[in-house]
Amino acid sequence: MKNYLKLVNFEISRFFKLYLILIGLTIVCQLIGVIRVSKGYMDLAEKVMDKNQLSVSRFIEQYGTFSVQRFVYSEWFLMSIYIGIAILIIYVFLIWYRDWLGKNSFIYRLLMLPTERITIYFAKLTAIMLLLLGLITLQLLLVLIEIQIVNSIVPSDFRTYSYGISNIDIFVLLYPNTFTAFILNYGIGLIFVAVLFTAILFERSYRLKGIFFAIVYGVLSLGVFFAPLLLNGFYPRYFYPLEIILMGMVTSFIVLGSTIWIANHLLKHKIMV
Amino acid sequence: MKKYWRTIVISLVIVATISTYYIQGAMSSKNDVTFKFKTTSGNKEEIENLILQASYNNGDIYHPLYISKDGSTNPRSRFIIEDLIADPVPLEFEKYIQDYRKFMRGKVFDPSNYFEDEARLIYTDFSGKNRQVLTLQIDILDKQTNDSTSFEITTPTQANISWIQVNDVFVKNGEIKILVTSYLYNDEEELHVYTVNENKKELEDGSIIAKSEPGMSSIRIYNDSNKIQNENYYLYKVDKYKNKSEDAESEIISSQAYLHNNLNNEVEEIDIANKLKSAMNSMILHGGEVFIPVHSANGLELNRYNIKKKQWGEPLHFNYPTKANNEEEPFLQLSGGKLYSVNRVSDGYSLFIGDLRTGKSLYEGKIIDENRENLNKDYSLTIDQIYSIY
Amino acid sequence: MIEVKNVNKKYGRKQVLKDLSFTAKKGEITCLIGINGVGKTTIMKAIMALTPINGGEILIDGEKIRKDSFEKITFIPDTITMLPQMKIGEAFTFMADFYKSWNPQRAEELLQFFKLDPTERIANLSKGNTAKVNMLLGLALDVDYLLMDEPFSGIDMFSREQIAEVFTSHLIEERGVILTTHEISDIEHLIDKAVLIDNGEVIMEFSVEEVRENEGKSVVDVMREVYRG
Repeated sequence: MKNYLKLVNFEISRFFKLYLILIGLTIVCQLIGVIRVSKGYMDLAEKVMDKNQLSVSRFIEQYGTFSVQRFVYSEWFLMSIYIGIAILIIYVFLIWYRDWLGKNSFIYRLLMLPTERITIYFAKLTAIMLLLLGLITLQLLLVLIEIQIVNSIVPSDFRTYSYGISNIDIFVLLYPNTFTAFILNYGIGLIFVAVLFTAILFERSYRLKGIFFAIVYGVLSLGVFFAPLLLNGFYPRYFYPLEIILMGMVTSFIVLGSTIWIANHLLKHKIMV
Repeated sequence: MKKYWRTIVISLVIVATISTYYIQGAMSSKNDVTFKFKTTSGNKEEIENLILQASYNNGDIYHPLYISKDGSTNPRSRFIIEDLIADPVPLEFEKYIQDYRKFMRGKVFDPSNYFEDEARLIYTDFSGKNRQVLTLQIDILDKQTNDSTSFEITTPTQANISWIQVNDVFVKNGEIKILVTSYLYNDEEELHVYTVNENKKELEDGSIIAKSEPGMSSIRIYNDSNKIQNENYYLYKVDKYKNKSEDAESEIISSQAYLHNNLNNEVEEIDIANKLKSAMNSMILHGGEVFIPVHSANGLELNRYNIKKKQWGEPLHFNYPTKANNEEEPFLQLSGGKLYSVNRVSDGYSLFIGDLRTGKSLYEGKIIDENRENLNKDYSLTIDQIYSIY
Repeated sequence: MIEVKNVNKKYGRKQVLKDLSFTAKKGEITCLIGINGVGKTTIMKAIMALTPINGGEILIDGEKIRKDSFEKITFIPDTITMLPQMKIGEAFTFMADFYKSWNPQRAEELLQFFKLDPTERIANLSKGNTAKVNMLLGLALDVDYLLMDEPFSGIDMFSREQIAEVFTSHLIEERGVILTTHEISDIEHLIDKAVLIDNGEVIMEFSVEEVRENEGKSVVDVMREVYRG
């Protein structure tokens, strides 16, 4: 347990500088974006209303009200989201490969630590989840700030009536309405990363053959995981929703359990430095 | 410990933010809009077992609810995934699923496909709905022994059917009569009554009782699609149009209401007075009578036609205040010998319950909203169905 | 004692290790001798479970390798086993954090002996110094067994002498050492046992002193006989 915490902290510390840069970039991008988009709208409003002598309501009829949606789908915002996603996905792979490639042979040290090798796997998995959750937490805080900024630049008659962020589509996935759904979404995410990790370990254990194993394994896992939904598709309404959910929980455990078991086996008996 | 600061900081920020977000979310749901009944007059017991399946529109957002004497609840499932997997189970089927779990598997949850009496529950549906050979599947459950039997009947091939819909099931004297609408590829509709002999497990008859042609005529069925027990008659209306071009509004040349007697397969026409013809679209079949409601600012005039006697009786008058604007159609449901009406009034909505035999009011009350601040100024409450639960 | 018993390993089509067996005792320096690519490094990696084997078994003090074994046995490969961005001091902290058998005083001793600066980043070190740090990381652990892969390869002469000095010191005395090299003449006087390997098999396993006394041959002589004869 202690070694696990030490390794988690180690992984986080390794990535920390890049993480701070990513956070900074996201903040800057989004703040610039929200200010520019809001100001842009107000400038347009001023110009058009002045030129055509329109009242506020006439202007709104033609150009629509300003909703947070406008900003959320703007380039600044989307770019910051894409960069974050890209870096996270790359790091899912890099967190393993960086210990092998180039001048780096740190993997020797990791595998020779007086700890169960699966601890390395758990530590890297935890690190990725913390990084992911950290980013979405950052985004949540940023959105709250951004709403305030919008409210200060765009007067209320120009704004679309909305409460909270729950009606922005992208966010429903990241911040579902109930805590249970939150755990579920990110739990599924965790299982997904875990399976990816095991696939990486297949490649690192069997090299070229390993890529093939990795793909087969990945597809198999997906199949088992989604089996209840597939069943439901072929035989609609045969299983009641609660039964499908229970089946889903079982398949999730099977997939997670087997992925950890396989990873453990690979790390102990098949891995090659 | 201090070298763990990075991990600790990240973890703390995550936990603090996410937990605050969800705790706050849980609290704010307490500020959700709720509805409840407020009795003005009449017998409180009338609303004792009522559940109103309703929804309200707030801006663009649609909120479904159940309203009862205890207040309103949100029918959304415990796990959001349930909604992703399947449509939510209609209220009336929850009991069937509970009591007859195995029998109810794989079945459509539409009351139109079922028949029930004290002893049995019967389900019919077509398999291969948009293929050439239609097979009628019939499942029969003995409620006492919990045994079920099922058989299939191949219906005569009809090549041009694009969809087929079961509207009602009537079972009596070893015969299962199924009211079916076939939708053809050329937009024609056919109204069939299929008669199946239960004992011989054969199709005895599959006659068409009405047919519509696109642009020329249309059929509409007025049976209570939520009633699972036998209805002795099928009520349907056929409108004929003047042959119209695509853009023009269709002009109705004639509207005729028909009753199909399920016991002897006879079809009779109902004569409707001209002044009631415009209200024909609101016809209701209930308890051996055909009702045509006419709403006014004072309440409701319920015209009644006794099927056995084949004559129109004295209309019933129920008085209650309504806003009677044409935008919102008042909700009207006849069940169990009673009339249930929900209308918009100046300060919300009113609920009226009347007795169809005596024509008297049994209950009058209001449906009031709470936590109004979260509601748009012009929200609208729509009632889908009123259930009595015991 | 480290026992390598009938180990088989295939890499792709090639049988890299064929029914290979030998032992290395604690308190002795065992040298695996063979030409490049014959499987010496593979054997060491196999002992450390850093590469899988297809048959046979490897026992350390009678047990198969487990997580605790890494407090008893360590491997010094020919590449650095620390993050290059780390400073030498940070590497020490890392080792101290994870290994109970890390001996900080010994590490300090060796640091001074090798004349290294703890604030220097590993990536900036010369090849010779990097090798010294690598060795340090192994030697500063109070382990029973040390595996060293080509400890002298690519090292300048003076650094080599320094490292050779370590071998004769108390730092190595009671431990079991397995090392590989093809510069046999440099260290012949240090080793206790020689294991000649060719084509994935052990050709000959012998005590250096015995052979010198009884047959008057050096290790190099034996090698000549075996490989040429």
